[in-house]
Amino acid sequence: MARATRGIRRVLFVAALSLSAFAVAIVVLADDARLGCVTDAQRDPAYQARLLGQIEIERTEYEIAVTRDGQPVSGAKVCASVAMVGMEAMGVSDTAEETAPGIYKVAVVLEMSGGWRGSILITETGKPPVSVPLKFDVG
Amino acid sequence: MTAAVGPTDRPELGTQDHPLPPPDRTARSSPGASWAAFRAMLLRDFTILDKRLPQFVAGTVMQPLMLVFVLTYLFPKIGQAIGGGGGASRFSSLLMAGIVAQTIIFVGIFTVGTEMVRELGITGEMEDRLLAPTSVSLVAVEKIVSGGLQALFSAMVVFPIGAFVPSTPVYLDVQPVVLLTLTPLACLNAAALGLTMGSRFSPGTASYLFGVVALPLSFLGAIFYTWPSLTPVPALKYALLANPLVYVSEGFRAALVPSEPHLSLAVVYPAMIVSAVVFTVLGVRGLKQRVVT
Repeated sequence: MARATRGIRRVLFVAALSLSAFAVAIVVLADDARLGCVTDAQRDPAYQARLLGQIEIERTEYEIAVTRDGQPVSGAKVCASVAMVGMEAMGVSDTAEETAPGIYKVAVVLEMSGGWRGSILITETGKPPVSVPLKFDVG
Repeated sequence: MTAAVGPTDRPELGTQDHPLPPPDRTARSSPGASWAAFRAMLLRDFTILDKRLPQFVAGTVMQPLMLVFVLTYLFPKIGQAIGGGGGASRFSSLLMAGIVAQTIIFVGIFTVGTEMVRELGITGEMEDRLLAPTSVSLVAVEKIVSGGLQALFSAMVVFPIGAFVPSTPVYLDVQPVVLLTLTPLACLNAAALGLTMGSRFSPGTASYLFGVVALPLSFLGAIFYTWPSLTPVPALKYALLANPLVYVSEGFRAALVPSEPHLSLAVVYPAMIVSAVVFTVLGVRGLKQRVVT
């Protein structure tokens, strides 16, 4: 067996490498944190989301406060998708990471000043995904 | 003193009085000999692949990499994201299933198909294979298994590309049972399709394999869109059911993004099984015709 496979060692090595890369990729691609950006969601007035701090071109990260009936929403999958008004095709989106109960951090760069709009997609465990519209100006 | 060596009493074979004995076909196609020949041919294919590994890897990776890079990284970056800001992630996720399917089919067609054209029409390597103590059908089946394994490798490579290249998040809701049953079936389908093409194209017409077969198959194979989304174009929607790639793409959609509309698996599995059987039969028949002539 060892003699037979001697001539195909590189093929076996690359196959093993590909299998490992495949396994890692599946774990990454199936990460529920990414779900928030993909799901079709309905609006629910009980949910609110707003960007915290000054919104400006220089920033690369923003914090979003997410609440349901005024209470912080913890442990949800959150994704921000925003685009400049009239330039929707130039949209950016990113999955958020919870930094404190109800506070989520996203890495997006708003490259131009002017009016922007988009939505925050929130998926709580066991609940249907919710979309909260967002509208703001970049100074 | 030594005995004089004279002509033996053995009769001369091949004459009218002593015709050649018929070939012992039972011995040639005994299961043990056939299995040994099958393994040897498979090992030979992978030894050749080992020698050409850099070219194979580059050829396999380049197409899905370029598609994913342009459609899901570059387009969103330059403001031309397909599906817009919010829909870009959805498009990227849908595209993944299509690209896995396309890569498998392309590797099947180009690995088995072009190799067959070369071995039959240029190098004559196929004649060596046919000298093996096995049937022509098993030689063809070996080609399918070898091509299928290479297509399987190429399918695995697409996932890391999809995980790390797109600038918009790709999310896959992997259905392991569907993925694990569908992938080998898709790989065999692709290799059988390659065998059919390879046995029907000559070196002179092989260049049409890409333009006339692979390109329409790809663009009309539900790679960049889902089959149910074609409802506004009903004639095309139902005409595309003749394209085997549609079932592979839709099958991978069921395995990777099941929440998106896709062809029912009750249609996908039987269609893929029928397609694999039909292309295997056509490929074996085509090879037999070519080697006889």
